[in-house]
Amino acid sequence: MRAEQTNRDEFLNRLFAVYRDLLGDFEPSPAFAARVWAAIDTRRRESTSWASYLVAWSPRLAFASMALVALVVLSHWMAVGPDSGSVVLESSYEDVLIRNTIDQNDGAIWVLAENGE
Amino acid sequence: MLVETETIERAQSGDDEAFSEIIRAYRKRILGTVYRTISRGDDVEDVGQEVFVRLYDSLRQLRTPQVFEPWLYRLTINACYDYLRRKRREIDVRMADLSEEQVVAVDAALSGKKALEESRKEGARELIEIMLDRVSREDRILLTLKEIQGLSLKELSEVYKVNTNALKVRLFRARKRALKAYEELTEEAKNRVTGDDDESRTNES
Repeated sequence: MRAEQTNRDEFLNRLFAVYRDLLGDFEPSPAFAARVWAAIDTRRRESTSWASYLVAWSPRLAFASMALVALVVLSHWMAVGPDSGSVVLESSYEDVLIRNTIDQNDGAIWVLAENGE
Repeated sequence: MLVETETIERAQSGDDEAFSEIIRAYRKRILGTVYRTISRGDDVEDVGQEVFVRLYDSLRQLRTPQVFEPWLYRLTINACYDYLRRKRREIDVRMADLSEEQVVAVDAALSGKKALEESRKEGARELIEIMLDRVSREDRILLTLKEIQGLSLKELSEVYKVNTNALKVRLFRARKRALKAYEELTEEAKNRVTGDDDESRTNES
């Protein structure tokens, strides 16, 4: 079993050795470095053009978004009306509290009277 | 390392001349690794180019220039992996061209008794490539780096960021799967010849 495994290992080692020989070496073309730099420059230009595009358009985009916000606020204000949002109090908090206390105490006084206290 | 640490640091700070030095120093090694991993000569420079562009984009992220080489190998492996994933369909087509002639050529190459003719060399090479195509991309890359590129276990453990024992287990399994793939391939090639003979006999009668 072990001998068989060793044989298989050796076979695979020889197979890889044959493949290594058959492949040989790879010689880069003389223009390889220039091609790499061309690809890097293309990528640089693309990222630069995106950045410059954003820089050129950012004031206009800021103005447009502010105008949009103002338009939304204005349309909401016109739809709802100028007075509907405000709350006008007809009486103060103290007035309401006193009135409620009197209403509740009326009942309580009657209960106490019935108990003879 | 093939370049000084200082060169890497200069390249990190945006020195194009330093980066050119890195390309000059590593292009042969990187393209050799790509060639052995993807084994398609026409696309080697494209994949190699992608490796160096990725290197340029991410070099600033490298915190310790001392680990530059394993890091560059990792970039190379990732680019090869992406390429092999894209080329899966072409590999399936190639498998259809399997012949017993190729098995004979590999046997002859293994015995090493006499030099192979160019056409037989090509056939033998293709058969081994089909074997590598049949194992997973992870196995293929690991086997290529260890058995064909000749990286040591220590170098591989730095590339893969795993200890050597875990790597040995992975390698053992990958070798086993490669051998199984090769046995299946030779079997298929022989069966194909038998099948062709039967078919021609039926046509004759």
